[in-house]
Amino acid sequence: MDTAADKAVIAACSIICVLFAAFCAMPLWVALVSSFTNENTLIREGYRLFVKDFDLTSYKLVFTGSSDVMNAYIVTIVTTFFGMALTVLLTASLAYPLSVESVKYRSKISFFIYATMLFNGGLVPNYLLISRFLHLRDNILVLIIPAALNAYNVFLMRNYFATIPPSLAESARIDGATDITIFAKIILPLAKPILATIALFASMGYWNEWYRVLLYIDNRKLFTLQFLIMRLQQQVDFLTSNLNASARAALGNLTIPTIGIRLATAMISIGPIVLLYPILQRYFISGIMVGSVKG
Amino acid sequence: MAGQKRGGFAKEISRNKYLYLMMLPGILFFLLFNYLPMAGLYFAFVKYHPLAPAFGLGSQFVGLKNFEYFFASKDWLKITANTLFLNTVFITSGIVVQLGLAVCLNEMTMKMAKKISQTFMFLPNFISWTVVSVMSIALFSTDEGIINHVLVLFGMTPINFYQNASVWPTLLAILRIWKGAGFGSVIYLASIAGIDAEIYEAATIDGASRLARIFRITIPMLKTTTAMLLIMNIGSIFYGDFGMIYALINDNPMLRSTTDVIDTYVYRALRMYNDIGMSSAVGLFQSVIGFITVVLANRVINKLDKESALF
Repeated sequence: MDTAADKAVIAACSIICVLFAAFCAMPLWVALVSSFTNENTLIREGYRLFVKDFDLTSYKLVFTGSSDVMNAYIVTIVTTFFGMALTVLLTASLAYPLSVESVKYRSKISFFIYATMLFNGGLVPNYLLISRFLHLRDNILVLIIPAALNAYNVFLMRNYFATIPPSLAESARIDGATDITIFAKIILPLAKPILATIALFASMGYWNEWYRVLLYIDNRKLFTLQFLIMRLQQQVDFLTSNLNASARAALGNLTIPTIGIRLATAMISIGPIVLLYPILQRYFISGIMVGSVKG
Repeated sequence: MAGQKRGGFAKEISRNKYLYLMMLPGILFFLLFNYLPMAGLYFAFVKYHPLAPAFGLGSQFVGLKNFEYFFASKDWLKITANTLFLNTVFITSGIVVQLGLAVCLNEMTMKMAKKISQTFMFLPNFISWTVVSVMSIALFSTDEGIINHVLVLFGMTPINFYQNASVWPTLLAILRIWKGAGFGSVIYLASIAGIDAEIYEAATIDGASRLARIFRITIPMLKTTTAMLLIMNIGSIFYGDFGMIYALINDNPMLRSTTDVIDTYVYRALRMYNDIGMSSAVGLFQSVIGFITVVLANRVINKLDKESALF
């Protein structure tokens, strides 16, 4: 039974966790509140914890003022969807054979993959590979393919596959099933938590992509949402210099809310994450736990 | 392979042909995107010319000249020191907070509160540094920022965050903890879940308090995980977090004295001066020195505690 001292320990631990959770939520909350606040009020009174002078101008401008945001949204959705599908497919089909004991070269191949975690050519050779060898500059594929496979995900998945009893595959093989059938019909359905985990990791990576845009994309039509936010941070007039006539007329002689536009863009970019993440959360915790404990 | 029959390779491939076929795309991917660029390390030894054969690899060989440029500049010591210092702060603060959070989460008895706290703790991990930079302006900006509001409220002088280089190592460490520590605690939670329940039962029967169980069982049992995380992090100690620094401070020259790291320096050399030779040389320097640190760290840990070593 817990003594008074034990109860104090539980209480202290709980308070620490709740405070840390609040610390995590606070900046998001402030940004959300500010994005709905009138720009002049925001500048005059500063950022606050609650909405004062509710105002949707920034959101209206973001959605209707220029085609950039909608464009970036589409690019981001397309790259996230195809990138996630490609990542799961490539990772799973590489990871499964590595978990099968009868595959003789699996430890050699594992090392071949592991070595990529220790060594890499660095920025310059990769840059030249993409731009001069593969000619993928200003091509949407550069935002999908190069990020599709990494050693960490492969090992996470291999470790999960290794927990599935090999006798299942064995008995199917006796019944005449090929390895591909076994993989598709038996292994994959049993590996939902790890597939969800990798899908989540991959989606988040693709959704938040801006680095490759910075390096390889000049065409404004292929910018991702995060890159757009980056541009807005550095170049206040990036969107507003392109505002269409109707948006200008609607604004009248009001000043363009530059801070508001940044905040609103940031908020709509994390919207889908905040909505989807609690649903996927229960899968990925178990996925990571099983995958990482076995090391 | 000694003692292996001829045709062993072909036999093995044909026996498991579907499995090898499944692996083929992934193996080709690693060859193309990870191994092929390693050939590009040779750029560190040439005076790059874009029209030279083999994508510039055929440029004139200059030996260690590119390294000389880098090590002769007075910048290299500063950016290497910044990289090491920032990463040391990030690694230690990160590990301490992750471990602490995992232990606290593990002691929480209210299921609902635990779940909600965890949800909020993990969420920042999925938010990109660009969005963090939008939010950090709301927090840190001089006139409108919340932190300065609070400082003024308590009669203190506001801090000019974006012009004061000395506060950034702390700010970056806090932002990193905000973003990653909650999620990082999952690894520790997984290790705690793996601790044999009988140990706790035995300790409870012997009258150990919760606090004693935390400090005598849980934390000591996390030694291996901590060592593993340390080795893995130390391997990248010479790599600056370009994404974070570029997004948060962009290229603010006023903050460069504490935040300019090897990676931001290389990026500048590449984008502004198109200096392919030196950028490659620095990249090679990072890889080699990073590899040496991993091996050394592993050896030290091997000496201290054999079980905790990574290899």
